[in-house]
Amino acid sequence: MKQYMKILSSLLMVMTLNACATQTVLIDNENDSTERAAALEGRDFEMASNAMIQDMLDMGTLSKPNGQPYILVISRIENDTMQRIDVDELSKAIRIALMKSGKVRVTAFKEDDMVMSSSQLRKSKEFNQANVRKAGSLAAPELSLSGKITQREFIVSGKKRIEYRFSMSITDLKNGLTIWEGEEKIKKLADKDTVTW
Amino acid sequence: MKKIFVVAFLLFLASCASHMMYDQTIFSISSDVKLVAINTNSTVRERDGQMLAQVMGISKTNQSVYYKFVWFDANGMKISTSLSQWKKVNLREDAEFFWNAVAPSKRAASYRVYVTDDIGDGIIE
Repeated sequence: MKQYMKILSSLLMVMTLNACATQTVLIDNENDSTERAAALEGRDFEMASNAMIQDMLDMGTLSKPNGQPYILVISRIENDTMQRIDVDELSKAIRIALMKSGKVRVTAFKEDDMVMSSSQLRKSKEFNQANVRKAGSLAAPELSLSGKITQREFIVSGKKRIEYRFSMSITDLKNGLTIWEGEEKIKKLADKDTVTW
Repeated sequence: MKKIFVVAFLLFLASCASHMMYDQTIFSISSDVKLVAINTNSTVRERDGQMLAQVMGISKTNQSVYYKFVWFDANGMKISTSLSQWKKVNLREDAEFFWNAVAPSKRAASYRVYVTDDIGDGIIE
């Protein structure tokens, strides 16, 4: 009898521990309608970037008359929110969609150090020079993408209203003129004690 | 006999009233979405070959719906793009609505529009 009790109590303990374990589930990216956070999250970046890409393509200003793609460089995207966020989330989504559209090619000389430092291989006799970049062969950017993300908070009727503003612009580097500007606002209403940072 | 004809005719009219006609080769609309009409047109911009599409319709009631455009190339293959995301909008009773979309690339040759009131919670069981 004692033996049975021991087995039964260990079984119960295992079952209790099992029940306490938190379950992690996967979320389908395409059909994600789970609860939203007050802070900026992935879906907000998707929403803002999609709206801006639609606008860029709709305006047609990224279409070169000769049909060739523009060379784009990602410039500074300022984070003026109270949150520690990676602004690359926004620029990456935009650059992927623009590259897929065939209207733009992105130069990575700013974020990939190897683009510039690979020129040092020219001095080395260890490397087959056929693959080494020749002087003057880097494609210079024609357009620059820059932007800013801001956050404002208000208390209205006992609720916290949080407004995020994504502002982006594309500038022609030959003459400094802005060829496209877009702004996307995401507004959220949360409990007044909600903290977004 | 006459009565049967009248009843059948009324039933036919009632069935016409509850089922909105729409182009099923372009639209996929969930039965819980109540619309009076929905239609679409598209154009290819001459300057750069960019396809632009517009959906216009009238809502039967105040409701929140999700919609998305899915783009296909000339071979009928789906074009993978972040632009084919569900978008949630509020529709007002008897009010017109317009949804505009731009093809993700020049490869796009056709599109389908999905409209539903529920996309589930996204949890993969």
